[in-house]
Amino acid sequence: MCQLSKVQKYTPSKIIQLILEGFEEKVLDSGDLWDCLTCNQCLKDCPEDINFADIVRTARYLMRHKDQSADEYIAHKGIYTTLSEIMSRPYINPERNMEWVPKECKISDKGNTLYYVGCLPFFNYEFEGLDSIATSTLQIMYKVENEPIVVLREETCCGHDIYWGQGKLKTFIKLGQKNIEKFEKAGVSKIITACAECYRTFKVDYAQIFEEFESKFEVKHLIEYIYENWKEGNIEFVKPKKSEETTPFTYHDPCRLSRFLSKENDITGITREIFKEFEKLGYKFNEMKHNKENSLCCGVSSWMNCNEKSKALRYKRMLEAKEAGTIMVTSCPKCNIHLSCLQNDFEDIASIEILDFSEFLVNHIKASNQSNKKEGTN
Amino acid sequence: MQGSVLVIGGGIAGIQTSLDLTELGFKVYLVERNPSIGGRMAQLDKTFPTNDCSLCILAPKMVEVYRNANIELMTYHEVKEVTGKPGDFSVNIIKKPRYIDETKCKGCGDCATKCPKIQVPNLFDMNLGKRKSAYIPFPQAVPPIYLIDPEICLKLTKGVCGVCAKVCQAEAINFDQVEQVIKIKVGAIVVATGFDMPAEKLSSRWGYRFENVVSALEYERILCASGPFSGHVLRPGDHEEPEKIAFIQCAGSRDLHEGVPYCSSVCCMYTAKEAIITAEHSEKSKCFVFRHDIRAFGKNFYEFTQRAQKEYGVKYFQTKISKVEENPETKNLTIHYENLKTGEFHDFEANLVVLATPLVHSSGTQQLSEILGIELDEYNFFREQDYFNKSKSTKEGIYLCGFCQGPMDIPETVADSSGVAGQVAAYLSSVKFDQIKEKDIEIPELGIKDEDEPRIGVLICHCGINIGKYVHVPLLAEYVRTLPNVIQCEDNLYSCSSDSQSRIKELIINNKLNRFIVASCTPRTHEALFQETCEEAGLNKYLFEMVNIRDQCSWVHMDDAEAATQKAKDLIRMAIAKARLLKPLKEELLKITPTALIIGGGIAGMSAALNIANQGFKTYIVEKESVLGGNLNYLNELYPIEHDASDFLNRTIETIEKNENIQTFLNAKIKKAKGYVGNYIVSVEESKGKIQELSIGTIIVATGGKEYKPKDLFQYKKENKNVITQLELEQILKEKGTSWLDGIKRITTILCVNARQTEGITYCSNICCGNSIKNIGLLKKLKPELELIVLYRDLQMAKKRYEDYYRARRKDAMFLRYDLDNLPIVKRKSKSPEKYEIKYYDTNLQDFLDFETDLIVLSTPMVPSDNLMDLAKMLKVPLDKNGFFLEAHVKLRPLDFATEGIFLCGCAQWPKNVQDTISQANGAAGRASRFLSAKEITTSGIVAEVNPINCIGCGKCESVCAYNAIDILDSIKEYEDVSLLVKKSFINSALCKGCGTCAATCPNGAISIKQYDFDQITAMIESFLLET
Repeated sequence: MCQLSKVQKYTPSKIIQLILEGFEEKVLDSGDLWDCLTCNQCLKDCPEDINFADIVRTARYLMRHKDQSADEYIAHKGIYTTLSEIMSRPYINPERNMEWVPKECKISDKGNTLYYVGCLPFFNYEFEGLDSIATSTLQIMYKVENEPIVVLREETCCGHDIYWGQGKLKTFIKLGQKNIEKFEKAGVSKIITACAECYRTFKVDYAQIFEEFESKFEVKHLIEYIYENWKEGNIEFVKPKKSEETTPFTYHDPCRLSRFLSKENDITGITREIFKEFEKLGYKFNEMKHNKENSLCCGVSSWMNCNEKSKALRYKRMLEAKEAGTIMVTSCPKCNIHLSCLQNDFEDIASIEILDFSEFLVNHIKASNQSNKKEGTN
Repeated sequence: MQGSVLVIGGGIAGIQTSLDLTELGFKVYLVERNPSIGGRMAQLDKTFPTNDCSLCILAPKMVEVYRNANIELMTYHEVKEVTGKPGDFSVNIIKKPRYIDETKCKGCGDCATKCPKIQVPNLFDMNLGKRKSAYIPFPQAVPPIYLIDPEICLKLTKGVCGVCAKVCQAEAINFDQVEQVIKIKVGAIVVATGFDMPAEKLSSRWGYRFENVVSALEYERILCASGPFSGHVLRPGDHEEPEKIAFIQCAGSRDLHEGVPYCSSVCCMYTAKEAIITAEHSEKSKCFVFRHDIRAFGKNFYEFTQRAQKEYGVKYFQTKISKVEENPETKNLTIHYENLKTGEFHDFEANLVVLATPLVHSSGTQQLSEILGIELDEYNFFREQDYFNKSKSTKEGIYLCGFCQGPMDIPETVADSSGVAGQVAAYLSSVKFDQIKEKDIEIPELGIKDEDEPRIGVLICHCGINIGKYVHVPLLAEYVRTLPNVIQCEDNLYSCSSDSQSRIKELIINNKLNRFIVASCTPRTHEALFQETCEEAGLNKYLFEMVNIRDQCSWVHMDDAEAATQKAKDLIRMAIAKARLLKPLKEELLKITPTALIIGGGIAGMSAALNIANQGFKTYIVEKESVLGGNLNYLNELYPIEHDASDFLNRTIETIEKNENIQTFLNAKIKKAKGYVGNYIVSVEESKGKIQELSIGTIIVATGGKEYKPKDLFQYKKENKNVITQLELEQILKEKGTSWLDGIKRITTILCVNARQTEGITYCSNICCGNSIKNIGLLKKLKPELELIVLYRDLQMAKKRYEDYYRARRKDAMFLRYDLDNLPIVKRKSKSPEKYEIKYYDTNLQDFLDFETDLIVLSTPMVPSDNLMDLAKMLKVPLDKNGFFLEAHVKLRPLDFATEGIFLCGCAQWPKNVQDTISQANGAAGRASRFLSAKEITTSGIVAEVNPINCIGCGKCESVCAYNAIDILDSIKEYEDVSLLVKKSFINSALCKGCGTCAATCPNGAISIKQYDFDQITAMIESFLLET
């Protein structure tokens, strides 16, 4: 069921019907497709498996070429997409803040395994505390890896937002080429990211657009990375503090890690397998009313359409979270931003602690005894 | 009675009074004997304690004077004769010849450029820089009109040259000008003649005769970026960068023999400022201050002197200086001094010495006092009528403001000036608005529709050769004609001349233009003129756009005509791109309720109320106590006049009660305040729980302060009856006779109790020294055989008569100095009779000493009144870190809050004595009554606007708005399966100043500024990028 239709008049099936009947121009001219959240909730219910978000993305490309301005839909005055735009230039490589890198973690600009950080260090100027996602991720990886982890000081944006939000295909391709060039230069073969959007972008979009990307690079979300290492016995989950209390928590599935992945990709499943293990550590995992492929939208996508309708959607989601637990874990920094932002406005949901998957897990992960990590590095 | 006022002196005092007076409904003749207004403040580099660029904050006010239709600006004029009677003075004013016709001169400066290179020292730069015969004192001079120095002009002295007349395309040069006498009639006269800083008297002991010894005002010019050394710290003698700069305090001040007896009050602060600025300018130069006391007399000033030492490494020595000598070879200076902390004698070698020269009455004060028939005091400052009427001279109808009546700093001067304006307004209230020029009736405005094709007219100015020489103007005009929507483009010699205004009107009407652009000089001085011209042609003034091709092109690219021309093309093209999107804007008229609310019924509140009520406006006083008078109720005698406080208080209360325009609420407090300037609704709760709603136009906060109770400090405890505070002593002196002193032989006063600390109360509250010294005198009078001891750190006797007042009482008591490192220790020796032992470290003697005492008086700082936070929140005005109310600008808006329509005065702002409080109260009343006099105000069309669809109610705009123009309001919005509390931003266009901070802050781009909206700015950027 279309989420947007709950807060305004919006019928994806009618739009599809119009296109099928040949009124494509009319759909484009109306500008209606700027409103879509690209959450793909509709895909879940579509008997024909129509990927509405893909259509919207392509349509936005066409709409822009019809001189439609997306300006009034773009939030934060377009600062973040402008950053991507700037980074797409061949000669501009902004140096990022590296203060988040914890002292004990050795990083390198060459090596096998890359931690792809994404926009987090850029967000820090406006949103608080997001660095800790990057810090936690690196700390988790450091527990496993023997070699220094590759972190690029001049990392380039993956291009997700500019591609989906504004349909800027050319910029997206430029960003992709630049990224691949940097990955190759660093000699990496394995890319780990803690961001749902970066993950989907590499895993699906880069793989589609750039030949050999799939064969050259192995892309993993942090969830998969942890899951595999756990299964291989490299790490174990531990309880850092002695406490008899049981903390109820829940998980918000980002669309990019659920509906936006191929059916074989079972991130939603493995996430829950990990959480089940957490019940041994003094936690109680509760599902929200809408979960996995059915998960509700966080309200905003690709820096588009931050408005009061979006707030209504976010509020709904937070009310569900409140029912389910005191902690809400998610694995998409953007969902995190959108939902935390709402907590400033509404006191009744302000008490829910929103944590990234990495932040939630970092203190519960220990390198196993059989792992030869410490001997290897010291 | 005449509805006009003569203001003598165009410094900050004269400027502020003039501006306030016109707003209060009076025509002003502002007479300044120099060629430009600005006075001493224009010469300063920075101002303490904020280190704002002095001229940068002053220049807008100077320009405001220049553009004010109701101020007749008479620079290079002098008052010659005053006759007639108060309310109806006849004044003869001498107009000195400039040899340049001010009606024709456009200030282009071509005459000065071509004037032969005979140069004389420029007085504005304290003779450190040079100027020619044809000159303007400084680039920002107002009026921007040149003059010729007849002493060195070749034409006027020898009858040759005259090249300026040849190059002046405005034909403004007139060598035949002679002195003229102008006769005017005015109702009142304000004297604001300021001060001089002559250093000549400091030649012998202080070494001013040496080339590397400068006065502080000379040093200001050295520091100034537009000064003679372009802001490089250099020695005047050899232009070498000095390594060691010595600042000598009190050079010739507080000196009974060769200088002035009083303390100039501002030197400690400007020295700290100059040292800080020096440290910022130059890594090489180190600053050393040879101080006596530190007298940082003003809000947060003491902390500023501490910052100079702690953050900037300025070294302070407490010294006495015997003499300054020069090394004839190196031209370095040797200062012979005694270190008062160690008692040792030393020599200090400095590369440059800056003397804190005393500030004295300005030259010509004597003559002016004779012309006006008003008296001078013993220091040659103008004498005030009496202590309580500081702003009045000894003659009715003639008022005094600023430094011409005694030492004061800029904020005090500004407050004083506003106060004088308020008092003049009350004096002349029967003839208010009689001589004020109203705007001409406009011809009906053309209706412009969105879909109308833009028809743009452009006028490009040569400004003589000022622009024309560096920018190829005809080529520019040719280019502009090719741009889309440009219907008409002309170039002319001076776009600001009156015939040009007629031409602009013709162009607009004949060509049906709906946008107009002038490319010339700066909008700062000229935009209003052109806007007015557009309005006269029926064009909404917001359809006008100005391009500054003088400053931006011809001035900065003087050496590259091609680049200058190209840049002018770009700038005009961008302006055209914007002009296409300009929309006519409406200015709202805002009605003002002609009533004032005064919060606090102390002397501040009462004085303010009387001033406003005497101007004829309904005034309410809300006082939380059951009587009026505030702290004055507890005071015994006022100093330095030895006047009974209750007599003054009772007289004042009587006048308040008699005044029909004043209504007083006692035992009352403010419950609620909503609205905005001119339109407040305030709920006042009286004691019985009765709530009264008042319609209020403007509000003055006068909540006062209170004495700090030094619990457990220096044996101040319930059981110790003989350890009291200064205010408690006041009450005893007021209520008890002399018998309480039986059995008391020795009384010790400790100053700075819990004041000027490194933590907690760090400030000096200014009033305690004077008050304590007053009580010393009173005690001695009551019982001459009493032994009196004062333990002090520095003595803040920084007012005109205070130094003498202190000297007179020095024989009554022993003044012993301690410092913060070794606080006195007080022990109780016996309980009955109470006896105490005080052990202290005497910094003068460098030794620990102890003595016994029967009574201890503790002088504690003044702290803010209780519960100010609630009031501050209600009125949306800020408190500072010490809990006093925070004014809009510490220098130039000391009595205003940033929120329009709310003002402050008295100890609510900062501790101050009765006289200064009255002065400030009058000032706040003057500021507040500007709104009441206006009856209605016009808001600017350039305001911020919220697009509610994009607004997410995050409140960021509200938090950054300095004018409290934004409110975030709640509403409930129902959706299919959730109901949502929605917040939206609302901007009150009456309060919005169009600064744009909210628009820049809004994360969602929901706010735009009219006339500077995103489309317009984007259009300019695109036009620049796409067409170069």
